[in-house]
Amino acid sequence: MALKVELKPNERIIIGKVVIRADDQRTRLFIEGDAPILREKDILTATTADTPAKRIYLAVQLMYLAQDIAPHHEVYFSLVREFLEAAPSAIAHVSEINNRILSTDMYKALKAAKKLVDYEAELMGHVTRG
Amino acid sequence: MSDIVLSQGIRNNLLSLQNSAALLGTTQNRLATGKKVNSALDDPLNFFTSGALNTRATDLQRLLDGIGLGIKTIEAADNGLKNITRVLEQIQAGLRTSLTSNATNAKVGSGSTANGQLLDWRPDPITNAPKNLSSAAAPPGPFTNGDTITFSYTVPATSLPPAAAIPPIVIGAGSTINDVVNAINTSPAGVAGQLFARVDEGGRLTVDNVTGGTLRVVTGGSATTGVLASLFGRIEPPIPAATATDTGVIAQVFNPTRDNFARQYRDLLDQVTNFAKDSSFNGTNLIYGQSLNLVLNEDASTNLLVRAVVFDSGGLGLQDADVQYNLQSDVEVRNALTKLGTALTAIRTQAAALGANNAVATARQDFTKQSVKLLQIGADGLVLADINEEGANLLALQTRQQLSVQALSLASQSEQAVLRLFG
Repeated sequence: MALKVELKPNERIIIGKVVIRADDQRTRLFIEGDAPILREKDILTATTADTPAKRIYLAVQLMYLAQDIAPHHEVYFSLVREFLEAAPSAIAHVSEINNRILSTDMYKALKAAKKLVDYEAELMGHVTRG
Repeated sequence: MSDIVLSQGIRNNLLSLQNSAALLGTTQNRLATGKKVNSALDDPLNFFTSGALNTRATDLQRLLDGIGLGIKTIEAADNGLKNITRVLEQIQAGLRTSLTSNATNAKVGSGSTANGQLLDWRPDPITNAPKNLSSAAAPPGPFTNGDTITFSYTVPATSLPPAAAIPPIVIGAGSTINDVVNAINTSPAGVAGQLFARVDEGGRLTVDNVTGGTLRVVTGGSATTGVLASLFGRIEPPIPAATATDTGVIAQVFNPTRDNFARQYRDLLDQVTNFAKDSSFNGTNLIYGQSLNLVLNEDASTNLLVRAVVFDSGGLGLQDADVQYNLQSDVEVRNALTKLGTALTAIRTQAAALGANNAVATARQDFTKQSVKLLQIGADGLVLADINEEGANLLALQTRQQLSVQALSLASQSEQAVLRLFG
């Protein structure tokens, strides 16, 4: 069954190793086959990943796009370790990410990393709000 | 006097300092007990979560041992493949050397005719028509319709399959040399790989008795003396004269050098089988038919199946019945070399597959190892958890990470991925 993706005008999407950009109108894509797919709103780059959790997300995203955990898991774990030292209560989220990676379900791992980013925002919110 | 204006950053830092101060009391309490949650009564949720994390860590630790053993099994198989490759290369070298020693198997091959002309059985170079055996006009000579050619041969050793039958080959009106070649190669003897006929590049008909025994050719019907010569040009030793039928026997000469190679060949094949049998680790032998199933997570929902092969000399196709391995004829040696080539390719493919599996398993091992460590840190940390403190910690970490090694490493890895297109 094809995956249906609708792109806003000029929105970009990564499919496999290429970036696809929509024309200046809404575009609908039907994608069949097995390749990493990431919408623009889900993509972080080295510049936009500016918090500890976002960096973890970026590391997972790199594993997802490469479909290979080996080259990235070192940096991933050093990030995660620092994160857990700072915020041990995030262990449930981290454990979820690890579990998904171990089951080679990288897309779900990315979703779990997204939750970690939200959780981090919540924790930081406590501080910035006083 | 104007108000002091605080920047957002400074305000944040001050606030987190205030929070830290407020938490000091709790910290002191924690220092006194070592842990905030000491029993299920203090904080049931954290206590049980922490317990669950510890259990998971233990589960993963056990898996880790399994993966470690699996990697060793793959390495043992890979080592076996290396040894087998070495032996096969040795055999290959031996076979190539044996080709330089004369093949002495019985062979009737068309050499030069009495007047020094080679009998050329290739199709007519201009019309591409095959040469007709029973046409008087054809240069090699006159067979007549209904003449027969009969080959018979012996097999020298009782350990080999006995000689198979070759039905007499009847020459028809339009028979060509290809019909003779096909009749020999599709006869039971040809199918058993004992006789082999071909027309070589020079256009000469050659019939090999690849078992190394004798080969006899008899003609029947109206074909008489000289007709055999018209088929082969010349037969050594000369055909006995004045008989109703022409009979050619090529005496078998045994080549001891080749026999020596054949014996070495068989010994080395045994070595191959030994290596294959000895490549097991922890009771699993990946090159002797025992597959390995590596469980990668604690509920066994993901696993890595390393499929086994049987790579003893039989499994590699080196003892197939369609090749005779006493190496007295060139055909045999070439067949054996072809089989060896196939076997080496199969081994290389398998080694590559094992290598890939090993890489996956090793990556998994590292990953699981780290996960276990994390779960343990997490379980300990959880009973010390404090939301406000964690927020402050994260902010501090964020600042600290700006210039950290990981940030740089992430940046360079992103640069290599498709992400660079997002600039």
